[in-house]
Amino acid sequence: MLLNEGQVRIPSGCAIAGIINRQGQGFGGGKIIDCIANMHQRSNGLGGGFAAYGIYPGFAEYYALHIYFDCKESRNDCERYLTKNFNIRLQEPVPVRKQARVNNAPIIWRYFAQPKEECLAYTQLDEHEFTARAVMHINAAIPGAFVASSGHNMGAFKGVGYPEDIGEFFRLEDYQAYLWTAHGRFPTNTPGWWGGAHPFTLLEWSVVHNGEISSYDANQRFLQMHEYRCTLQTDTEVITYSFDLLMRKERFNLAETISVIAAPFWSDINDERIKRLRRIYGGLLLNGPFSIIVATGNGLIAVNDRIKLRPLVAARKGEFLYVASEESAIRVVEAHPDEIWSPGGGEPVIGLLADRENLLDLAPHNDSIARPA
Amino acid sequence: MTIINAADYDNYELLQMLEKMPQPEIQISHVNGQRYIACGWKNNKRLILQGTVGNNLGAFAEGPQIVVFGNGQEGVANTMNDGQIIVHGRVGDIAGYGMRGGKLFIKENAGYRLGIHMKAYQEKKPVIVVGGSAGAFAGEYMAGGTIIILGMNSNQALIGSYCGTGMYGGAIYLRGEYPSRNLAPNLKKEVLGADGLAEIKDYLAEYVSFFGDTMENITSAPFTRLSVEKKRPFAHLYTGFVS
Repeated sequence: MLLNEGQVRIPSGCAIAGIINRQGQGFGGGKIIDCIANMHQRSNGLGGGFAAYGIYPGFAEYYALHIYFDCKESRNDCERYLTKNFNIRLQEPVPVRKQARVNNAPIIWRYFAQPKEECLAYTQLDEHEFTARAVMHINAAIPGAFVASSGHNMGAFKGVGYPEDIGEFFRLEDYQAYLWTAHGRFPTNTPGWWGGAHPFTLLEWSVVHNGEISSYDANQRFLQMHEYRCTLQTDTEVITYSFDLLMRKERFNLAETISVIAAPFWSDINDERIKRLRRIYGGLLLNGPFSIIVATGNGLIAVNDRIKLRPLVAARKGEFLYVASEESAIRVVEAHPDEIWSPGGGEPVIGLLADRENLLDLAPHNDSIARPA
Repeated sequence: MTIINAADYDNYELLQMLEKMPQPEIQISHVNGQRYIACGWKNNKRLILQGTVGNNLGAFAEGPQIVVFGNGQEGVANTMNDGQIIVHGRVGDIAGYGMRGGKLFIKENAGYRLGIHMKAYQEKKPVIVVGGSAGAFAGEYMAGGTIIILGMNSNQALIGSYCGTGMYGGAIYLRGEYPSRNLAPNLKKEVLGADGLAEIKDYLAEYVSFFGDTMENITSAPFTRLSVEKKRPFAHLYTGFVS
């Protein structure tokens, strides 16, 4: 009999990787799998996953909901809820290739859906907020169901196994994406289950993470006050929701957002506005060691905690930007980059599509936090 | 010399094979991320590595000479006891972590926490020479040994923040300009001319012999020697007593 996690201990650390073609040219999943497989030793087979952007161009105007179910009843419950709230253009099982090293897979379906007009009118929510709350509802209130991803023209493919096996299981070579991120997991404080694998997503956000968010509880309490419910039993979830809150709802730019989640020490902050953000959103400081890759349809950013307690390397080659936990993971797919470097703590590496200026395309809010004159 | 292609083996097989090889000089090509190479070696073998070498190269090693044509990742010379590692490229974080003997030469930049908690005892005196710049926390908790940071051909600041924080022994030599706000408080700073470099002259000469450049060029800028004033600078950190 196989021993469960907790009965065996395999010391290692997580691995992350990301690749973007800044011209938006799609490429198959083989490259990101090679990248993450080169860091095999950083994971222990208890979680692997990928986020892919640009994979559903034919359904680009629909939210692509990847949903995992424990059993048929969960699927029935969930579909009843979905059909009540969304118009579903297409629903189908996510194609998988059975293989020996990936076991106990849940039932995995995808739904291309749009919120119903009457539901939006009734709730007075915009469609992003409506969909985000639907995701929260499914994760929290429908037993045995959770949403793996819910953005436009993107999807998360994740599960329990080594990332290269998960990639093969989900047939990632069949998808063309201009942006891929990947994660190999070594669970530290929380269980290795399908919902706990990275990436963690909401709408078009996805996050892969190496490290530990020791401020998890403080962060999740803060997020609770803004309609986010943390249900996936893993610290990384708060990173996704923090970005969503700060950038989609509060409409801060990237530099401001980074100054909140990876804030410099108080004594090092000179800007009065950043000081105010630090005071107001102190509850979203991500404390502890981390390197993360955060992606949306517009691009990716990779960033470390402020004192760089986890490794991170970036490289550029033509229109490609690569980020990974280890240089070797980049070299395996790009032996001769134009430039390769290690970003400092709290210094984001930013890789956006050539025609985009921010991770999200939202118009700025009326600014409630005044800039000093 | 025996030549091995690392791409033909998985990491574990490669290490097993190296362990059993009797040859005094081994060259490994196509290294890309393999960890623990020469880890714990107690011998005087010479190892030549081509590619990007994985984490903990030469950790706990006692004696081997390792030359890397390429870059190192995290933990190069971690807790090394003796021997020599020469990297013709850059290295990642925690190079020379807890190093207690031997020498580490790096041609380009080093990442965060260079030489953190290095220590020396009697004839064991670890030395790190970095040709480029070093990231934050260089020499943090340093208890002994020598770190030299030259800043040649680097486009970033010589040292990152918190250099020498918690240092209580050993010496850090900085060549040329450096951001003084990045130094920990209470360090003793001495500016040295070319004639004040007797203690590190041999190490600089070795650097030149490995990576080229000239002694004149290296000594054309003043050096600053960082050390600690008192024997036990943190004796009263938490108690507040002054005796």
